[in-house]
Amino acid sequence: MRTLTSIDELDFAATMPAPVMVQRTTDHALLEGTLAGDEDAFAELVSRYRNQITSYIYRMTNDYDGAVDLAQETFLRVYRAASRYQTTHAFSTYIYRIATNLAISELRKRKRRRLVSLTGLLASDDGQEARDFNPPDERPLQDIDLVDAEKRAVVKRAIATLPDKYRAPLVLRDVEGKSYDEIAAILRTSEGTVKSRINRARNFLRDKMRSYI
Amino acid sequence: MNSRECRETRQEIEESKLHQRLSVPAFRHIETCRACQEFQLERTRLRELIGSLEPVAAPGDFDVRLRARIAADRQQSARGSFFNRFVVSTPAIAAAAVMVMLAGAIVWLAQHQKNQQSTIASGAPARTEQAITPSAKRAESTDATSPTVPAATNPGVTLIAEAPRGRNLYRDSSGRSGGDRRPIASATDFNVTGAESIRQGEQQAGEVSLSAPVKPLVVSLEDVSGTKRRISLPPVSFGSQRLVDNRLPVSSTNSRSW
Repeated sequence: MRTLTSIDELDFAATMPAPVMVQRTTDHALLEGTLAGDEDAFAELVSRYRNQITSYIYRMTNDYDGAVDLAQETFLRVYRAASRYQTTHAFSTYIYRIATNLAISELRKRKRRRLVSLTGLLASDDGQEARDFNPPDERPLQDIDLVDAEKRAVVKRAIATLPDKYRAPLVLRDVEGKSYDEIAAILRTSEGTVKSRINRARNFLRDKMRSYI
Repeated sequence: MNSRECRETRQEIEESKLHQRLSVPAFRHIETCRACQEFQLERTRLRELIGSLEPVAAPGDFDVRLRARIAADRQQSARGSFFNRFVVSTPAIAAAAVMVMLAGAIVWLAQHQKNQQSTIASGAPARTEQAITPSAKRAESTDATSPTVPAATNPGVTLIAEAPRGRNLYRDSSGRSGGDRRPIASATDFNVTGAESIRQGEQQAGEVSLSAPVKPLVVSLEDVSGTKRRISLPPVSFGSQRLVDNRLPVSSTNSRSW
């Protein structure tokens, strides 16, 4: 009689069913389903992109409630214009373009309303060179978490002071991790322009956060 | 420092993903170039800092709120769709055009009538002169445009109304007049002789009646002896005029034929 030395020798693998390959429905297929009246397809689309879009708009506008509102407006526009959607671009490019347009128009509205932000209190007349409202403390801090939290706050404030045309490509590249060609498609501009704007945005941030780098 | 190599290396650092391996020439250049080394370090730290921003999640009720918003949007579009479709449809545009044309035609007609009346009135100024002649003789009118007036039975005074051209003439008892022999309309002074009472008739279409009250006027009189008398005065009509008849001028004189 043969003695089993390991559980593998029971050969369970042969009797186990093969793993089912769950094929993920493409965004285009979901949008077609939405167009055909399938509410679940649209719900799936929303669940895929709601966090990304909310986060992206939040990085652009620095206002959570407003970002949620604009994210919903983004999905509403996708729903309304589902019949006009063309599959020449990726759906993510399409939805990010809508979100970008909404975020930029919101930023312009704010400028018109002349909202006074705390970070912009000490901004110069051209609105581009804002001094830090809360200058960094040069002394070493004890708690590393506090340091990280402060760094993040500074980065947020610094991004918020970027001009609109630099802010969108920088957030898409360094926060959302999009490729240059994707960013160019979202912003409807050339790759060269995108690279140039990202470079300028980084230089701008470097100057503002020199103490933290 | 080779500026071209530095530029190319920095461009590669700038465009590469975070922590991505650089090409061999760039890597070799960084080992030898202190400035590019610092640039790479600085850019890496900066991008790490930016990337350290934690993603923000959508709120839990995101889907519910979105569904409500879509439902509201659908209702709104359903409400507005019929109106929008009607507004941009051809029948609506045609109806609007017809209404505009009708309104324009009404305004034009009203303006045209007003102008015509004012032209006639200004073209024939009204003047009346009175002449008291010793012998009363009825004036005969041969003017076709001036209808004759019923003559008074006992006329003591004859009024000569103007001629259409505006020349008024006295007429003597023989019927001759000073210059212009054009036939003219005549009228009677009812201060001297009583006028016939014309009862108010039914107003016809297109006529405006210039009438007294419909009910007769009742007057009670009591003389010295105490006898009472009641006199009933029937309503008197001053006739009517057709509004559509534009042949005769509308004037302020009393020389019109009613």
